[in-house]
Amino acid sequence: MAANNMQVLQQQPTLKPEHKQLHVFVGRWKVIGWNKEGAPVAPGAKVTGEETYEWLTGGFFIVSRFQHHFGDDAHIGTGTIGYDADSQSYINHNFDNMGYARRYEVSVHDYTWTFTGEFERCTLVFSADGNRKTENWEISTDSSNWQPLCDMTAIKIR
Amino acid sequence: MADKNKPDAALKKLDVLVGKWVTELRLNDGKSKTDFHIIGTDTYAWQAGKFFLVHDVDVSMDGEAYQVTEFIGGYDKSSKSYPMRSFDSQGNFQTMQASVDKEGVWTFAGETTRATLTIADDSSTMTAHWEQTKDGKKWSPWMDMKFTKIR
Repeated sequence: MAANNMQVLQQQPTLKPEHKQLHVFVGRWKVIGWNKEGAPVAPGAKVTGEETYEWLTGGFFIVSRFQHHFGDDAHIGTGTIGYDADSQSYINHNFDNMGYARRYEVSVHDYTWTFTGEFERCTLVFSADGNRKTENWEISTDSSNWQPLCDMTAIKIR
Repeated sequence: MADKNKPDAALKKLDVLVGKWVTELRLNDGKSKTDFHIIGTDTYAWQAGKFFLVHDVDVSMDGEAYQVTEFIGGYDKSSKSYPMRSFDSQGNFQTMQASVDKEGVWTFAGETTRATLTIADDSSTMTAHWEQTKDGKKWSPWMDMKFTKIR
């Protein structure tokens, strides 16, 4: 199925400066954090984990692989972040070991990236040198009332 | 993150794809027909939890590298299909639906492209026939692919 996605009949996307901005994610990250009261699994538990972000050939998408461990449970998954020129928005898709296919609209302002999904949202802030990121996640069951889900800090190790 | 779920039993049918395959392509679009030639590999592997099959395409066509990362799953009971979401090195994001008939023949259906995939009885090879459409009504041949399992 190598060429199933060659959209020969449609206009090809072109690389934009916004794609290059994703490079700040690239690398291997060590994660530490805490689940908060809104966590449906292991609230209050310490979170440890690792994440890698790398470019898919072509420079349009970042592929992320993450595993976060808390208590006896783990959140493991793979995702992509790309830039949609039509909506002028970054889009993040995550697919995880709990069976969820999540989609987030992502915006960036200076060092702050905001992920907005239907039931989860996150504010991610990179340090000025790009070697540290902090994430504050929130969760909602109705998309209007939000409560803390987990806070994580990641250090770039490569 | 939410309650723990169990993968739908229908996802087990995707097991037959798991492995690394050598990929051969033959253009067959009615105007030109090439011979089959090796262009690279396709790899299918379950992600932890076995809800999503991750499909990585790593090929070269006309001297240019072409990569795809695709996620197949979970299972939509109402349409009896498996959502497919792919991201490629040319910047395309595409969704398709996979389904399988009683004979084990798979169909991948997208807006402008579609394929049937037939897997050999011993699961060591498979063949795909791709079609494309400009108007969503008239479908014409596009290309054929052969896959040989190497692990």
